[in-house]
Amino acid sequence: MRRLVLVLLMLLIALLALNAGAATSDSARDFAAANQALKRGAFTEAIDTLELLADRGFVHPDASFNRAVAYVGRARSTSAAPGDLGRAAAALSEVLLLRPNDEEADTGLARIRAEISRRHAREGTAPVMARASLGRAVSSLLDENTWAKVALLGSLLLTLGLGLRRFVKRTSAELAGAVGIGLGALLLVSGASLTAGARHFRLTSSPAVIVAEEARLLDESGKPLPQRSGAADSVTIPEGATVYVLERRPALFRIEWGSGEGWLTPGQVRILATH
Amino acid sequence: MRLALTAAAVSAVVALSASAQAALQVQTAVSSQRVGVGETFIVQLTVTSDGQNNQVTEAHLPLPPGMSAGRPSASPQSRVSIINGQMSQSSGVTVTWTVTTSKAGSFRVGPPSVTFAGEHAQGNPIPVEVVAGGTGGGQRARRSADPFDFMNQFGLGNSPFPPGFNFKSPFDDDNSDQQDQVPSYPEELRVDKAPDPIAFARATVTPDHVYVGQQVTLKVFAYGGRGEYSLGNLNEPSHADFLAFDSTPDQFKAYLVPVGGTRYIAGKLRELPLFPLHAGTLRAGDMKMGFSGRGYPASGPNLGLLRESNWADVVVSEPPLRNRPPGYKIGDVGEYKLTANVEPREIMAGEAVSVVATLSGVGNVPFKIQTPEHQGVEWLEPSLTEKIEVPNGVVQGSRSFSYVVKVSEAGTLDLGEVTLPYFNLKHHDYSIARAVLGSINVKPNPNAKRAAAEAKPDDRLANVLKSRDTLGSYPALQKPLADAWAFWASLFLAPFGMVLAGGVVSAATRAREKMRERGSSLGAQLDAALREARTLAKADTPGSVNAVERAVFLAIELKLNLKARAILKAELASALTERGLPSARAQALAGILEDCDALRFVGAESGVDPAELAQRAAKNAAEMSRDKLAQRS
Repeated sequence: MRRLVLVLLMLLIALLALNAGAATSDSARDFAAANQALKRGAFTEAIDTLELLADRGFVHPDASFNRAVAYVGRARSTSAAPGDLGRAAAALSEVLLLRPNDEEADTGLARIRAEISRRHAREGTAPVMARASLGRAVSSLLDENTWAKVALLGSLLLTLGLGLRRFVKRTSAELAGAVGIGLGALLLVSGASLTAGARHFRLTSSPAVIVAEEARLLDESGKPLPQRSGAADSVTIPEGATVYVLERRPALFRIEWGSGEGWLTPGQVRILATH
Repeated sequence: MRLALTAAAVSAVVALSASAQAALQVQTAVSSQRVGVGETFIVQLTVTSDGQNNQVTEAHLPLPPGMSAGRPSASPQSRVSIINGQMSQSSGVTVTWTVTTSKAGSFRVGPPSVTFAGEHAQGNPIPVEVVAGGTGGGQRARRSADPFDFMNQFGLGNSPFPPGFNFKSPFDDDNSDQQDQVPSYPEELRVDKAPDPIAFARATVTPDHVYVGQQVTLKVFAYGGRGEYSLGNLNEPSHADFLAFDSTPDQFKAYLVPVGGTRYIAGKLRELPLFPLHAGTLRAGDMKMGFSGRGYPASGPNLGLLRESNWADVVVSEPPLRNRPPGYKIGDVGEYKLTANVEPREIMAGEAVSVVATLSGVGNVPFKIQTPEHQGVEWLEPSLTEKIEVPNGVVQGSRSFSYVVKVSEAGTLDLGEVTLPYFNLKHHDYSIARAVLGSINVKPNPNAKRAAAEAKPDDRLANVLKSRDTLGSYPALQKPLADAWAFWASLFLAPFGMVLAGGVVSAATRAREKMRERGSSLGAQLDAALREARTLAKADTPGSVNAVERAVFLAIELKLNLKARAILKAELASALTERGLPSARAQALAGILEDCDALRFVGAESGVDPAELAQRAAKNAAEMSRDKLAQRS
């Protein structure tokens, strides 16, 4: 009986492994098929395949990169669809989240955003810049784990400083202890606060990119937010802009753009895939 | 209101004519102008006047041969309105004839006329075409209902029952024989429990678990339990998250529906095929209406008894990811087929062919299909024509996509196929509708080549990105340190631990100091001296004697704060007594000191045992600490 259970268990494991392997090979095959389509200029076919890969949960910076290539290709073709450049920007933003040192993606993203701005300018609408809220701007200066390491270093310095001050009765040690306490406390407080901030932002919001040509901010009931006098674009977010999705409802997403908040329809926003 | 308008728009010829008397307003209406032989139709004449008298003395409807009508029924009306403080009152009557046809042909019915409040009012004549066989426009004899009058839905005076069912009104006192003869009603009207004994509205959505793009049907029903009613102040049902079609029947068919012992006059007000636009739990319903009638207390002036239907929830999900084909658009659900026609098959390079693809099937026919992509082939935006119908409440039809396809390269070109991936509800899996376009022959055209070779101006994104052939490596996800409680614990426990350790060390030091201080106190010295005396008693008599002597003096100092070494031993007892010590204790202490001297100077021959001396000293020291001192004089 025990042997039978063991055999069944092994069979199950083998089946699962086979399934996982098949899924990986499917993704690689689809990636290759999309590449072939890209090479023969079938951008929509490549987009469909790569989007399906993403829908299936396949996350890889090179798949996202090729998706950006396909969108840019279609945007340049006669079959360009509205939002193609925004989607390309979203795909490249995804690449940079997954592989922060990808220079080609970085450069490409800058060029695409510049092109979007240029098109806006050509149509007579000035590009709108929104500064991130102070908390998000400061906490995103470094990676969350880097802030955590700073906090740990501060904790260590503070501990050593306190130890020197307390246990070593030498002037030089007491001086070093005082410096350690001051520096350590500073690093600990700032590092811990920013780690907590970065963690809060990570848990409560998802980075996203506007993929509509213009996304007008709505209120919670779906009505357009009133325009502020003298600032026609103050509640319209341009294509390719980075926003943060704070809340998802079936018909509306609550987003943070700069220091402001509002609602957008899900089709106007592409939430970036992370690991 | 909508019902009346719909009925009027679809099946009635309405003519407003001023009567001979300016004070009267006359309106003629007919339920259908095309009926079958043997069917019935209804002619109505509505007369209103500013006066209060609404008495009808004569009603007449001239009919051609081949038509007959029963006795007309009259429904009096009166209205009081106050506008800007001005009250006006009007009264009227609606006279209804049910006309039965028996011969095919084109006829002129009427004009109907009545004598109302002593004045003659006449409507317009109505052309009616009677055809052989049924048309659906009229109703079979003895089954007719007046679509214009909820107050007389069943076409027979004030009885709410359909003609042919010779029932008494449920609102009459005697309804003893009705139970066995309840007329049938559609199952969709059945309600197990009435939420309101007077009137209520009910909304249903079926099915309630669907995919995005799959049809659901919202139906709204009205139920009145106090007899005849008319409906007004209708607000359309809410369905913000759906794409809606309308398949509401033109006529409100009323039925008697027993619910918990009460007979309700019920009917379907709306039937809307809906297509959910996104996933989630979506809501539809909340249709408001006012019931007006004798048994329905009005909620406000001209409002009737206001009721609103419930919200109905639909759980909507996206079709499964498994087997999903590339290019599938969420919402493309149904059953479709695709055909295409390409013309001409032979062109010059740079010219265009016409591709007309027709997508037809059941469901919300998609607005976009997939076109093939080739180098040198440009598909322009298609023009669309559509034919969407809702037979039996099921949305279906076709959309034709007319493309102009420009071809710039010469040769034989296989255009490929147009496709539509969709989720097939019948097979519960994805399907792809395809139409093969075939090949076209493109002859060379030097002008077209030159046009293709021209560079696109202002293309700043050329060569910005180059596709990657392989999936490279990328840094693995670092688990966030801040998600581990140990991180936060170590962050703050280390410095606090150090502070704590410092505190502990300080406390220990202070305790040691205290101990040290305690060790140098008189009591400690006394204890030490007594301990020493006991220890040395056997081996070192002089040492033991010294320790006993020291213990005695320390005990005196501790008790009386008196340094007794300065007092002669002969006077010690009296000095101690003077300071309040009991004389017996003073004598005992003096005796111990004398024994010490004896032992010191005489030695063992003195007969004093050092151990006993040490013991005596300890006993007296202990007892002296408890002695009460006498008051000093």
